[in-house]
Amino acid sequence: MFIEAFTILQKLFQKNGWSGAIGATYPDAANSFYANQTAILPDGTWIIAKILDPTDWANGFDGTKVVGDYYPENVAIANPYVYDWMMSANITKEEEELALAFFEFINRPEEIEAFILAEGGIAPNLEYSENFKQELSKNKLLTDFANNANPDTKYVPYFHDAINASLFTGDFSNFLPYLYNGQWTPEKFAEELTKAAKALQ
Amino acid sequence: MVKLFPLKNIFDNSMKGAKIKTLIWIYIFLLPSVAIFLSFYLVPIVTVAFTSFTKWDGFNRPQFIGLSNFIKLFNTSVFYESLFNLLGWSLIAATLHVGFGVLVAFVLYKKPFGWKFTRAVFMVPNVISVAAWAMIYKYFFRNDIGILNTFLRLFNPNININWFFEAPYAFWAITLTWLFYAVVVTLLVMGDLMAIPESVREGAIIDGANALQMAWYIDLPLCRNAIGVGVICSITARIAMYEAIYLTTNGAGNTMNLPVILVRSIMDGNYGFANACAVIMLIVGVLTLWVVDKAFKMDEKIY
Repeated sequence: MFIEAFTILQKLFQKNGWSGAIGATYPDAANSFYANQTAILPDGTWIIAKILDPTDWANGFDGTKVVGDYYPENVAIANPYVYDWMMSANITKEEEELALAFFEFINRPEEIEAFILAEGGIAPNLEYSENFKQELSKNKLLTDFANNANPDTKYVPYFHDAINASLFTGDFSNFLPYLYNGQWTPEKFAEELTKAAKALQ
Repeated sequence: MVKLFPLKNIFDNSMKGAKIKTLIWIYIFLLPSVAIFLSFYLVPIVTVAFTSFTKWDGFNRPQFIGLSNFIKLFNTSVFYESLFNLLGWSLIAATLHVGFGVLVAFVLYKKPFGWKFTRAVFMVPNVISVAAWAMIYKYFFRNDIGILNTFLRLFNPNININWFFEAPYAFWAITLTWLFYAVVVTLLVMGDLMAIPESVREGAIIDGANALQMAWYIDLPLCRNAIGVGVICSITARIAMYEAIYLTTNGAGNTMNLPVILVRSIMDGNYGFANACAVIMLIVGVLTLWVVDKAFKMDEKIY
Protein backbone atom coordinates (compact mmCIF):
# COMPACT_ATOMS: atom_id res chain seq x y z
CA MET A 1 0.00 0.00 0.00
CA PHE A 2 2.77 2.45 0.96
CA ILE A 3 4.81 1.59 -2.13
CA GLU A 4 1.73 2.20 -4.23
CA ALA A 5 1.22 5.58 -2.52
CA PHE A 6 4.86 6.54 -3.05
CA THR A 7 4.57 5.56 -6.72
CA ILE A 8 1.59 7.91 -7.12
CA LEU A 9 3.50 10.63 -5.25
CA GLN A 10 6.55 10.24 -7.50
CA LYS A 11 4.44 10.20 -10.66
CA LEU A 12 2.44 13.25 -9.57
CA PHE A 13 5.58 15.21 -8.85
CA GLN A 14 7.47 14.20 -11.97
CA LYS A 15 4.47 14.87 -14.22
CA ASN A 16 2.89 17.92 -12.62
CA GLY A 17 5.16 19.00 -9.78
CA TRP A 18 5.98 22.64 -9.20
CA SER A 19 9.63 23.45 -9.89
CA GLY A 20 10.12 24.75 -6.36
CA ALA A 21 8.45 21.82 -4.65
CA ILE A 22 11.64 20.20 -3.33
CA GLY A 23 12.15 21.45 0.19
CA ALA A 24 9.06 23.64 0.03
CA THR A 25 7.11 24.17 3.21
CA TYR A 26 3.38 24.90 3.38
CA PRO A 27 3.81 28.71 3.05
CA ASP A 28 5.91 28.17 -0.11
CA ALA A 29 3.20 25.95 -1.62
CA ALA A 30 0.43 28.36 -0.64
CA ASN A 31 2.31 31.37 -2.01
CA SER A 32 2.87 29.69 -5.35
CA PHE A 33 -0.81 28.76 -5.51
CA TYR A 34 -1.99 32.30 -4.68
CA ALA A 35 0.49 33.64 -7.26
CA ASN A 36 -0.99 31.46 -10.03
CA GLN A 37 2.18 29.35 -10.25
CA THR A 38 0.56 26.04 -9.34
CA ALA A 39 -2.82 24.55 -10.21
CA ILE A 40 -3.46 22.48 -7.10
CA LEU A 41 -3.02 23.20 -3.40
CA PRO A 42 -3.62 20.21 -1.14
CA ASP A 43 -5.32 21.67 1.91
CA GLY A 44 -8.36 21.56 4.16
CA THR A 45 -11.61 23.46 4.06
CA TRP A 46 -10.43 25.81 6.83
CA ILE A 47 -8.37 27.61 4.17
CA ILE A 48 -11.44 28.71 2.19
CA ALA A 49 -11.71 32.16 3.84
CA LYS A 50 -8.06 32.84 2.96
CA ILE A 51 -8.52 31.72 -0.65
CA LEU A 52 -11.39 34.18 -1.00
CA ASP A 53 -9.38 37.06 0.50
CA PRO A 54 -8.25 39.24 -2.48
CA THR A 55 -5.34 40.76 -0.54
CA ASP A 56 -3.44 37.47 -1.00
CA TRP A 57 -3.98 37.25 -4.77
CA ALA A 58 -1.20 37.91 -7.30
CA ASN A 59 -0.41 37.36 -11.00
CA GLY A 60 -4.07 37.28 -11.99
CA PHE A 61 -5.10 34.70 -9.39
CA ASP A 62 -8.82 34.83 -8.65
CA GLY A 63 -9.97 32.95 -5.56
CA THR A 64 -13.58 32.91 -6.72
CA LYS A 65 -12.56 30.64 -9.61
CA VAL A 66 -11.03 28.00 -7.33
CA VAL A 67 -12.91 24.72 -7.14
CA GLY A 68 -12.74 22.17 -4.34
CA ASP A 69 -12.67 18.41 -4.70
CA TYR A 70 -11.45 15.20 -3.09
CA TYR A 71 -8.41 14.48 -5.24
CA PRO A 72 -7.14 12.06 -6.36
CA GLU A 73 -9.75 9.34 -6.59
CA ASN A 74 -12.31 10.71 -4.11
CA VAL A 75 -10.07 10.22 -1.10
CA ALA A 76 -10.38 12.55 1.89
CA ILE A 77 -7.82 12.81 4.67
CA ALA A 78 -9.24 12.73 8.17
CA ASN A 79 -7.44 15.29 10.28
CA PRO A 80 -8.05 14.64 13.99
CA TYR A 81 -6.15 17.77 15.01
CA VAL A 82 -8.92 19.93 13.60
CA TYR A 83 -12.08 18.04 14.52
CA ASP A 84 -11.29 15.61 17.32
CA TRP A 85 -11.35 16.25 21.03
CA MET A 86 -9.69 14.08 23.63
CA MET A 87 -10.34 13.49 27.28
CA SER A 88 -7.53 12.64 29.66
CA ALA A 89 -7.74 9.22 31.36
CA ASN A 90 -6.84 10.59 34.79
CA ILE A 91 -9.65 13.05 35.43
CA THR A 92 -12.18 13.16 38.24
CA LYS A 93 -15.79 12.03 37.83
CA GLU A 94 -16.93 15.65 37.95
CA GLU A 95 -14.44 16.69 35.26
CA GLU A 96 -15.55 13.75 33.13
CA GLU A 97 -19.21 14.79 33.42
CA LEU A 98 -18.32 18.36 32.49
CA ALA A 99 -16.28 17.20 29.51
CA LEU A 100 -19.09 14.95 28.29
CA ALA A 101 -21.58 17.79 28.65
CA PHE A 102 -19.24 19.99 26.62
CA PHE A 103 -18.88 17.34 23.90
CA GLU A 104 -22.64 16.97 23.78
CA PHE A 105 -22.99 20.73 23.42
CA ILE A 106 -20.48 21.15 20.60
CA ASN A 107 -21.92 18.17 18.73
CA ARG A 108 -25.47 19.47 18.54
CA PRO A 109 -26.60 19.66 14.87
CA GLU A 110 -26.80 23.48 14.94
CA GLU A 111 -23.28 23.72 16.43
CA ILE A 112 -21.86 21.37 13.78
CA GLU A 113 -23.57 23.34 11.03
CA ALA A 114 -22.26 26.62 12.47
CA PHE A 115 -18.77 25.12 12.67
CA ILE A 116 -18.89 23.94 9.04
CA LEU A 117 -20.02 27.38 7.89
CA ALA A 118 -17.21 29.03 9.82
CA GLU A 119 -14.36 26.55 9.30
CA GLY A 120 -15.46 24.25 6.52
CA GLY A 121 -15.74 20.48 6.55
CA ILE A 122 -18.50 17.94 6.14
CA ALA A 123 -20.75 15.90 8.42
CA PRO A 124 -21.75 12.84 6.34
CA ASN A 125 -24.07 11.43 9.02
CA LEU A 126 -25.97 14.64 9.66
CA GLU A 127 -29.14 15.63 7.90
CA TYR A 128 -28.52 19.29 7.09
CA SER A 129 -31.21 21.88 7.89
CA GLU A 130 -32.73 24.02 5.14
CA ASN A 131 -31.27 27.14 6.69
CA PHE A 132 -27.80 25.57 6.63
CA LYS A 133 -28.13 24.53 2.99
CA GLN A 134 -29.17 28.05 2.09
CA GLU A 135 -26.18 29.55 3.94
CA LEU A 136 -23.85 26.94 2.45
CA SER A 137 -24.91 27.78 -1.10
CA LYS A 138 -23.55 31.31 -0.59
CA ASN A 139 -20.01 29.89 -0.42
CA LYS A 140 -19.08 28.05 -3.61
CA LEU A 141 -16.03 26.25 -2.21
CA LEU A 142 -17.88 25.02 0.86
CA THR A 143 -20.67 23.80 -1.38
CA ASP A 144 -18.11 22.00 -3.59
CA PHE A 145 -16.79 20.03 -0.65
CA ALA A 146 -20.23 19.32 0.77
CA ASN A 147 -21.66 18.18 -2.58
CA ASN A 148 -18.63 16.17 -3.71
CA ALA A 149 -18.54 14.07 -0.57
CA ASN A 150 -20.59 10.97 -1.28
CA PRO A 151 -20.95 7.43 0.11
CA ASP A 152 -17.99 6.38 -2.07
CA THR A 153 -15.66 8.94 -0.55
CA LYS A 154 -12.84 7.15 1.23
CA TYR A 155 -11.58 8.65 4.50
CA VAL A 156 -7.97 7.81 5.23
CA PRO A 157 -5.87 8.70 8.26
CA TYR A 158 -3.45 11.57 7.94
CA PHE A 159 -0.03 10.08 7.13
CA HIS A 160 1.42 12.23 9.89
CA ASP A 161 -0.68 10.29 12.40
CA ALA A 162 0.15 6.92 10.92
CA ILE A 163 3.88 7.22 11.58
CA ASN A 164 6.12 8.82 14.21
CA ALA A 165 6.09 12.63 14.23
CA SER A 166 9.86 12.82 13.69
CA LEU A 167 9.69 10.26 10.89
CA PHE A 168 7.13 12.39 9.06
CA THR A 169 8.62 15.84 9.55
CA GLY A 170 12.19 14.55 9.45
CA ASP A 171 13.17 11.48 7.48
CA PHE A 172 10.12 11.40 5.19
CA SER A 173 10.63 14.98 4.01
CA ASN A 174 14.42 14.53 3.89
CA PHE A 175 14.07 11.50 1.61
CA LEU A 176 11.51 13.09 -0.73
CA PRO A 177 14.09 14.80 -2.99
CA TYR A 178 15.56 11.36 -3.84
CA LEU A 179 12.10 10.07 -4.74
CA TYR A 180 11.23 13.17 -6.74
CA ASN A 181 14.42 13.31 -8.79
CA GLY A 182 14.18 9.58 -9.54
CA GLN A 183 17.37 8.72 -7.65
CA TRP A 184 15.29 6.34 -5.51
CA THR A 185 12.49 4.05 -6.63
CA PRO A 186 9.31 3.95 -4.51
CA GLU A 187 10.54 0.57 -3.20
CA LYS A 188 13.90 2.04 -2.15
CA PHE A 189 12.09 5.03 -0.59
CA ALA A 190 9.88 2.67 1.46
CA GLU A 191 12.93 0.59 2.43
CA GLU A 192 14.86 3.66 3.69
CA LEU A 193 11.82 4.90 5.57
CA THR A 194 11.45 1.48 7.20
CA LYS A 195 15.11 1.58 8.21
CA ALA A 196 14.63 5.02 9.76
CA ALA A 197 11.50 3.82 11.56
CA LYS A 198 13.34 0.77 12.95
CA ALA A 199 16.10 3.04 14.28
CA LEU A 200 13.46 4.79 16.40
CA GLN A 201 12.32 1.59 18.09
CA MET B 1 55.25 51.93 80.62
CA VAL B 2 53.60 52.52 77.30
CA LYS B 3 53.52 49.55 74.98
CA LEU B 4 54.26 50.52 71.42
CA PHE B 5 52.79 48.54 68.55
CA PRO B 6 55.10 48.22 65.64
CA LEU B 7 53.76 50.22 62.64
CA LYS B 8 54.13 47.15 60.39
CA ASN B 9 51.60 45.15 62.47
CA ILE B 10 48.98 47.89 62.29
CA PHE B 11 49.48 48.11 58.54
CA ASP B 12 49.24 44.31 58.11
CA ASN B 13 46.03 44.11 60.16
CA SER B 14 44.32 46.88 58.21
CA MET B 15 45.39 45.19 54.94
CA LYS B 16 43.90 41.89 56.14
CA GLY B 17 40.61 43.64 57.01
CA ALA B 18 40.47 45.29 53.60
CA LYS B 19 41.16 41.98 51.92
CA ILE B 20 38.34 40.24 53.81
CA LYS B 21 36.00 43.12 53.00
CA THR B 22 36.90 42.88 49.33
CA LEU B 23 36.37 39.12 49.39
CA ILE B 24 32.93 39.55 51.00
CA TRP B 25 31.92 42.00 48.29
CA ILE B 26 33.23 39.70 45.59
CA TYR B 27 31.06 36.87 46.91
CA ILE B 28 28.01 39.15 47.29
CA PHE B 29 28.34 40.21 43.67
CA LEU B 30 28.86 36.61 42.59
CA LEU B 31 25.81 35.40 44.48
CA PRO B 32 23.13 36.28 41.83
CA SER B 33 25.18 34.59 39.10
CA VAL B 34 25.73 31.51 41.25
CA ALA B 35 22.02 31.35 42.13
CA ILE B 36 21.00 31.68 38.46
CA PHE B 37 23.60 29.12 37.42
CA LEU B 38 22.39 26.63 40.02
CA SER B 39 18.69 27.01 39.26
CA PHE B 40 18.70 27.50 35.50
CA TYR B 41 21.81 25.58 34.42
CA LEU B 42 23.11 23.10 36.97
CA VAL B 43 19.72 21.63 37.97
CA PRO B 44 18.61 21.12 34.33
CA ILE B 45 22.05 19.69 33.46
CA VAL B 46 21.82 17.19 36.33
CA THR B 47 18.22 16.33 35.31
CA VAL B 48 19.31 15.82 31.70
CA ALA B 49 22.23 13.62 32.76
CA PHE B 50 20.03 11.56 35.08
CA THR B 51 17.12 11.10 32.66
CA SER B 52 19.46 10.14 29.82
CA PHE B 53 19.66 6.75 31.53
CA THR B 54 15.89 6.41 31.63
CA LYS B 55 12.91 5.79 29.40
CA TRP B 56 10.89 8.98 29.86
CA ASP B 57 7.96 10.44 27.98
CA GLY B 58 8.13 13.78 29.80
CA PHE B 59 4.95 13.14 31.81
CA ASN B 60 5.21 9.83 33.62
CA ARG B 61 7.89 8.73 36.05
CA PRO B 62 11.21 7.97 34.28
CA GLN B 63 12.18 4.28 34.22
CA PHE B 64 15.86 3.45 34.57
CA ILE B 65 17.13 1.57 31.50
CA GLY B 66 20.89 1.91 31.92
CA LEU B 67 22.87 2.74 28.81
CA SER B 68 20.12 1.73 26.36
CA ASN B 69 19.56 5.28 25.07
CA PHE B 70 23.26 5.73 24.39
CA ILE B 71 23.57 2.30 22.73
CA LYS B 72 20.56 3.12 20.55
CA LEU B 73 22.09 6.50 19.65
CA PHE B 74 25.45 4.93 18.79
CA ASN B 75 23.67 2.41 16.54
CA THR B 76 22.00 5.03 14.36
CA SER B 77 23.63 6.21 11.17
CA VAL B 78 22.37 9.79 11.66
CA PHE B 79 24.46 10.04 14.84
CA TYR B 80 27.68 9.43 12.91
CA GLU B 81 26.46 11.71 10.12
CA SER B 82 25.90 14.40 12.78
CA LEU B 83 29.34 13.88 14.34
CA PHE B 84 30.99 13.99 10.93
CA ASN B 85 29.16 17.22 10.07
CA LEU B 86 30.07 18.69 13.45
CA LEU B 87 33.72 17.86 12.90
CA GLY B 88 33.64 19.46 9.46
CA TRP B 89 31.79 22.58 10.63
CA SER B 90 34.05 22.89 13.70
CA LEU B 91 37.19 22.78 11.56
CA ILE B 92 35.75 25.38 9.20
CA ALA B 93 34.61 27.52 12.15
CA ALA B 94 38.00 27.34 13.91
CA THR B 95 39.97 28.17 10.77
CA LEU B 96 38.09 30.07 8.05
CA HIS B 97 35.36 31.64 10.20
CA VAL B 98 37.64 32.74 13.05
CA GLY B 99 40.42 33.60 10.58
CA PHE B 100 38.07 35.91 8.69
CA GLY B 101 36.93 37.55 11.94
CA VAL B 102 40.56 38.12 13.01
CA LEU B 103 41.47 39.53 9.60
CA VAL B 104 38.58 42.00 9.74
CA ALA B 105 39.60 43.01 13.28
CA PHE B 106 43.20 43.68 12.16
CA VAL B 107 41.98 45.74 9.20
CA LEU B 108 39.47 47.72 11.27
CA TYR B 109 42.08 48.36 13.96
CA LYS B 110 44.15 50.26 11.41
CA LYS B 111 41.10 52.55 11.01
CA PRO B 112 41.17 52.81 7.21
CA PHE B 113 38.72 55.08 5.38
CA GLY B 114 35.13 53.92 6.07
CA TRP B 115 36.09 51.61 8.95
CA LYS B 116 33.17 52.72 11.12
CA PHE B 117 30.68 52.06 8.32
CA THR B 118 32.27 48.65 7.63
CA ARG B 119 32.10 47.77 11.33
CA ALA B 120 28.40 48.67 11.42
CA VAL B 121 27.66 46.68 8.26
CA PHE B 122 29.62 43.73 9.64
CA MET B 123 27.44 43.88 12.75
CA VAL B 124 24.11 43.87 10.84
CA PRO B 125 23.76 40.07 10.35
CA ASN B 126 23.99 39.65 14.12
CA VAL B 127 20.93 41.80 14.74
CA ILE B 128 18.83 40.00 12.12
CA SER B 129 16.97 36.99 13.49
CA VAL B 130 18.11 33.55 12.36
CA ALA B 131 14.60 32.92 11.00
CA ALA B 132 14.84 35.97 8.73
CA TRP B 133 18.21 35.23 7.22
CA ALA B 134 17.36 31.54 6.90
CA MET B 135 14.50 32.64 4.64
CA ILE B 136 16.86 34.91 2.69
CA TYR B 137 19.28 32.03 2.13
CA LYS B 138 16.44 29.68 1.26
CA TYR B 139 15.54 31.95 -1.62
CA PHE B 140 19.18 32.56 -2.51
CA PHE B 141 19.77 28.81 -2.91
CA ARG B 142 16.41 27.88 -4.42
CA ASN B 143 16.66 25.70 -7.51
CA ASP B 144 14.05 27.40 -9.70
CA ILE B 145 14.32 31.12 -8.94
CA GLY B 146 17.33 31.29 -6.59
CA ILE B 147 19.94 33.96 -7.31
CA LEU B 148 22.79 31.44 -7.33
CA ASN B 149 21.26 29.04 -9.85
CA THR B 150 19.99 31.94 -12.00
CA PHE B 151 23.57 33.24 -12.16
CA LEU B 152 25.04 29.79 -12.86
CA ARG B 153 22.49 29.23 -15.64
CA LEU B 154 24.08 32.14 -17.51
CA PHE B 155 27.03 29.78 -18.08
CA ASN B 156 25.21 26.44 -18.05
CA PRO B 157 21.44 26.57 -18.71
CA ASN B 158 21.08 22.94 -17.57
CA ILE B 159 22.14 23.62 -13.97
CA ASN B 160 19.59 21.96 -11.72
CA ILE B 161 20.85 21.85 -8.14
CA ASN B 162 18.76 21.82 -4.98
CA TRP B 163 21.51 23.33 -2.86
CA PHE B 164 19.78 22.80 0.47
CA PHE B 165 18.39 19.34 -0.20
CA GLU B 166 21.04 17.33 -2.00
CA ALA B 167 24.38 16.02 -0.77
CA PRO B 168 27.13 17.18 -0.90
CA TYR B 169 25.88 20.70 -1.71
CA ALA B 170 23.68 21.02 1.38
CA PHE B 171 26.67 20.89 3.77
CA TRP B 172 28.33 23.82 1.99
CA ALA B 173 25.07 25.73 1.60
CA ILE B 174 24.54 25.51 5.37
CA THR B 175 28.18 26.52 5.94
CA LEU B 176 27.74 29.65 3.84
CA THR B 177 24.84 30.78 6.02
CA TRP B 178 27.24 31.49 8.94
CA LEU B 179 30.78 31.42 7.57
CA PHE B 180 31.25 35.17 7.13
CA TYR B 181 29.23 36.32 10.15
CA ALA B 182 32.25 36.57 12.43
CA VAL B 183 31.54 39.84 14.19
CA VAL B 184 31.83 38.27 17.66
CA VAL B 185 35.38 37.16 16.88
CA THR B 186 36.16 40.59 15.42
CA LEU B 187 34.94 42.44 18.51
CA LEU B 188 36.85 40.11 20.84
CA VAL B 189 40.09 40.51 18.91
CA MET B 190 39.66 44.28 18.55
CA GLY B 191 39.33 44.49 22.33
CA ASP B 192 42.65 42.69 22.79
CA LEU B 193 44.32 44.72 20.04
CA MET B 194 43.34 47.94 21.79
CA ALA B 195 44.75 46.63 25.07
CA ILE B 196 48.27 46.10 23.67
CA PRO B 197 50.57 48.69 25.31
CA GLU B 198 51.96 51.25 22.87
CA SER B 199 55.43 50.70 24.33
CA VAL B 200 55.48 47.17 22.89
CA ARG B 201 54.78 48.48 19.39
CA GLU B 202 57.23 51.35 19.79
CA GLY B 203 59.92 48.86 20.78
CA ALA B 204 59.19 46.81 17.67
CA ILE B 205 59.37 49.92 15.45
CA ILE B 206 62.72 50.85 16.96
CA ASP B 207 63.89 47.28 16.22
CA GLY B 208 62.89 47.85 12.58
CA ALA B 209 59.81 45.61 12.37
CA ASN B 210 57.51 46.26 9.42
CA ALA B 211 53.68 46.22 9.59
CA LEU B 212 53.41 42.56 8.64
CA GLN B 213 56.03 41.49 11.17
CA MET B 214 54.27 43.55 13.87
CA ALA B 215 50.96 41.86 13.09
CA TRP B 216 52.50 38.37 13.00
CA TYR B 217 54.97 38.53 15.89
CA ILE B 218 53.29 41.01 18.24
CA ASP B 219 49.57 41.54 17.63
CA LEU B 220 48.60 37.96 16.82
CA PRO B 221 50.33 36.31 19.82
CA LEU B 222 49.03 39.00 22.16
CA CYS B 223 45.46 38.37 20.93
CA ARG B 224 45.82 34.66 21.69
CA ASN B 225 43.16 34.67 24.39
CA ALA B 226 40.58 36.55 22.31
CA ILE B 227 41.16 34.23 19.36
CA GLY B 228 40.83 31.22 21.69
CA VAL B 229 37.54 32.55 23.05
CA GLY B 230 36.44 33.19 19.44
CA VAL B 231 37.22 29.58 18.51
CA ILE B 232 35.29 28.32 21.54
CA CYS B 233 32.28 30.53 20.72
CA SER B 234 32.33 29.47 17.07
CA ILE B 235 32.60 25.74 17.74
CA THR B 236 30.02 25.71 20.54
CA ALA B 237 27.66 27.62 18.24
CA ARG B 238 28.09 24.78 15.72
CA ILE B 239 27.38 22.18 18.41
CA ALA B 240 24.13 23.97 19.31
CA MET B 241 23.22 24.97 15.73
CA TYR B 242 19.54 24.12 15.31
CA GLU B 243 17.50 26.96 13.77
CA ALA B 244 19.80 27.39 10.77
CA ILE B 245 19.35 23.72 9.87
CA TYR B 246 15.69 23.35 10.80
CA LEU B 247 14.69 26.39 8.75
CA THR B 248 16.71 25.47 5.67
CA THR B 249 17.54 21.80 5.07
CA ASN B 250 15.80 20.25 8.08
CA GLY B 251 18.53 17.62 7.93
CA ALA B 252 18.12 16.81 4.22
CA GLY B 253 21.17 16.26 2.01
CA ASN B 254 23.15 14.66 4.86
CA THR B 255 23.08 17.76 7.08
CA MET B 256 21.85 16.13 10.26
CA ASN B 257 23.30 17.32 13.54
CA LEU B 258 22.85 16.52 17.22
CA PRO B 259 20.28 19.24 18.09
CA VAL B 260 18.06 18.09 15.20
CA ILE B 261 18.18 14.50 16.53
CA LEU B 262 17.39 15.86 19.99
CA VAL B 263 14.34 17.88 18.88
CA ARG B 264 13.00 15.03 16.75
CA SER B 265 13.23 12.71 19.76
CA ILE B 266 11.24 15.21 21.81
CA MET B 267 8.62 15.31 19.04
CA ASP B 268 8.28 11.56 19.48
CA GLY B 269 7.90 12.00 23.25
CA ASN B 270 11.22 10.25 23.77
CA TYR B 271 12.79 12.55 26.35
CA GLY B 272 15.26 9.99 27.69
CA PHE B 273 16.79 9.48 24.24
CA ALA B 274 16.76 13.24 23.60
CA ASN B 275 18.64 13.80 26.84
CA ALA B 276 21.20 11.12 25.93
CA CYS B 277 21.82 13.22 22.84
CA ALA B 278 22.09 16.33 25.03
CA VAL B 279 24.67 14.60 27.23
CA ILE B 280 26.78 13.84 24.16
CA MET B 281 26.49 17.52 23.12
CA LEU B 282 27.57 18.55 26.60
CA ILE B 283 30.57 16.22 26.53
CA VAL B 284 31.59 17.49 23.09
CA GLY B 285 31.21 21.08 24.34
CA VAL B 286 33.34 20.49 27.45
CA LEU B 287 35.97 18.66 25.36
CA THR B 288 36.06 21.62 22.99
CA LEU B 289 36.63 23.98 25.90
CA TRP B 290 39.45 21.83 27.23
CA VAL B 291 41.21 21.30 23.88
CA VAL B 292 41.00 24.97 22.86
CA ASP B 293 42.08 26.08 26.32
CA LYS B 294 45.19 23.89 26.06
CA ALA B 295 45.89 24.72 22.40
CA PHE B 296 45.76 28.48 23.01
CA LYS B 297 47.40 28.23 26.46
CA MET B 298 44.55 30.32 27.78
CA ASP B 299 45.39 29.62 31.42
CA GLU B 300 48.80 31.25 31.04
CA LYS B 301 49.41 34.97 31.49
CA ILE B 302 50.13 36.91 28.31
CA TYR B 303 51.77 40.00 29.79
